[in-house]
Amino acid sequence: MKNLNLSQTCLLDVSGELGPQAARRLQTHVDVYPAAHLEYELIRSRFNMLRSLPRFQDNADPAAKARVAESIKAGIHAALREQRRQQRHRQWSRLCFQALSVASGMAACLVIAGGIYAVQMRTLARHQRMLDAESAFRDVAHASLPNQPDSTYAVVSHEIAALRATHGLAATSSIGNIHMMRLLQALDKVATAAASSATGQPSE
Amino acid sequence: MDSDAITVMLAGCRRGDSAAWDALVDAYWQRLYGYALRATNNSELARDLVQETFLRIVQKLERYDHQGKFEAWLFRILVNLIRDHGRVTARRPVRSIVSKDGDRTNDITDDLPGKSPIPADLIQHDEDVIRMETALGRLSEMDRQVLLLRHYGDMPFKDIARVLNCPIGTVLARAHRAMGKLRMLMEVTDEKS
Repeated sequence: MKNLNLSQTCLLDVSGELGPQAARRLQTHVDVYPAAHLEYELIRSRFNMLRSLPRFQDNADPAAKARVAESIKAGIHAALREQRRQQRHRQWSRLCFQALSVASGMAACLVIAGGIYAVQMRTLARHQRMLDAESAFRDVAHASLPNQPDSTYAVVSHEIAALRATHGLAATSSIGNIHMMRLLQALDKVATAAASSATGQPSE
Repeated sequence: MDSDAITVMLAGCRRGDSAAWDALVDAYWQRLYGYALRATNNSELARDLVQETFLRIVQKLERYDHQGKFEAWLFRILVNLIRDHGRVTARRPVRSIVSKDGDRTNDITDDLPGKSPIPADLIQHDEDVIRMETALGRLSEMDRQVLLLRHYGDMPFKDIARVLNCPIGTVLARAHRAMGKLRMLMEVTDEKS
C-alpha cells in the first residue's frame, strides 16, 4: 500500500486497517506536526460519527434475526434440492443414453456378424459345389475316357490347386480371376479331347 | 473468518453438504443483510437480494477459485444485484399521482428506496440516527456506497476496493470526501432545526 496521502493514511489508521509499523510512523508524524494532528482528530471524529449509526447485526432483535436467517436458508435449501434433482436427472439421462448406445452398438455388431457368417456360408457352399463338380468330372473322365492323356488332368488339377492356394475360398466364385480363367480353359480342352475321342476324330 | 476456514466451508458446500451451506449463510448473511437493508431501505427487498446473492453462489461455486477474496466476491454480487434492481425500478413507467376523483392514491415515489419503512425490531430509530441516515441518503451513489460497505457491510477498505474494482486510494478518497459531506449535511440540518 503506497502513494497514500495523510488523510487516507489517517482514515486507514482510525479504521484499524493500518499495519503496526505504519501506524507508529503516522503517530510520530502526527505528534510532530500540529496540522497533521488536527487532520487526524477531524478524521477520527468523522469516522466515529459514522460508527455511531446503529447496524442490523448489532442491534436487531434476536427473534427478527432468526426469522430473516430462516427465510434466507429456506430459499437456499430449496435451491440446493432443485440443483440435486437436476443433477440426478442429468445423471439418469446420461446413463440412459449410454445404455442405449451400448444396446445399439451390440445390435449393430450382431447384424454385422450375422452378415459375415451368411457370406462365409454361401462361399463355403459354392466351394463345396465346385469340389463336387470337380470330383464328378474326374470320376467320369477316368471311367469313360481311359485314353485321355494324363497331362491334361494334371493341368486341370494344377490350376485348381493354384486357385485354392493363392486366393482362398472366396476367389473361386470370381469368374474374372486369372486362375479361374485358366481352369476353365483347361476344362474346355479336356472336354474337347473327350468329344474327339468319342467320335474317333483327333482333337485340336 | 480466516481464509483456511472459508476454504473448508466452501469445500463442504461444493459437496452439497447442507450444514456447510448453513454455516456459510450464518457467517455472512448479517453483514450482507445489514448493507442491503441500508442500501435499499426495504427489509423484504433486502432479504430477497441477500437470498439471491446466496443463490448465485449456489450456481457459481463450482467454477469459483478461492484465492482469499470470497467476501469481496460475495459483496460484489450483492452490490451488482442492488444496482440492477435500481435500474429496473428506474425504468418503470411513472404512474399518476392523482386519481380521477382527485384522491391521492398512487405515489410515484412508492417504489423508490426509502419508502418502505424498516421494521423497528430490525434497527432502532432515534432522532439523531434518522437525521444522520437522511444525510447519508443525500450523498452521491458512489460516496454513499463506500460508507455503507465500510460501516454496514463491515468491510475493510482494501476489500471495498476489490468489490468496486478500483484502487484503494480512490476508495479512501471517496470515504474521506463522503464523511466530510455527511458532517456538513448534519450541521446544515442542525442549523435549520
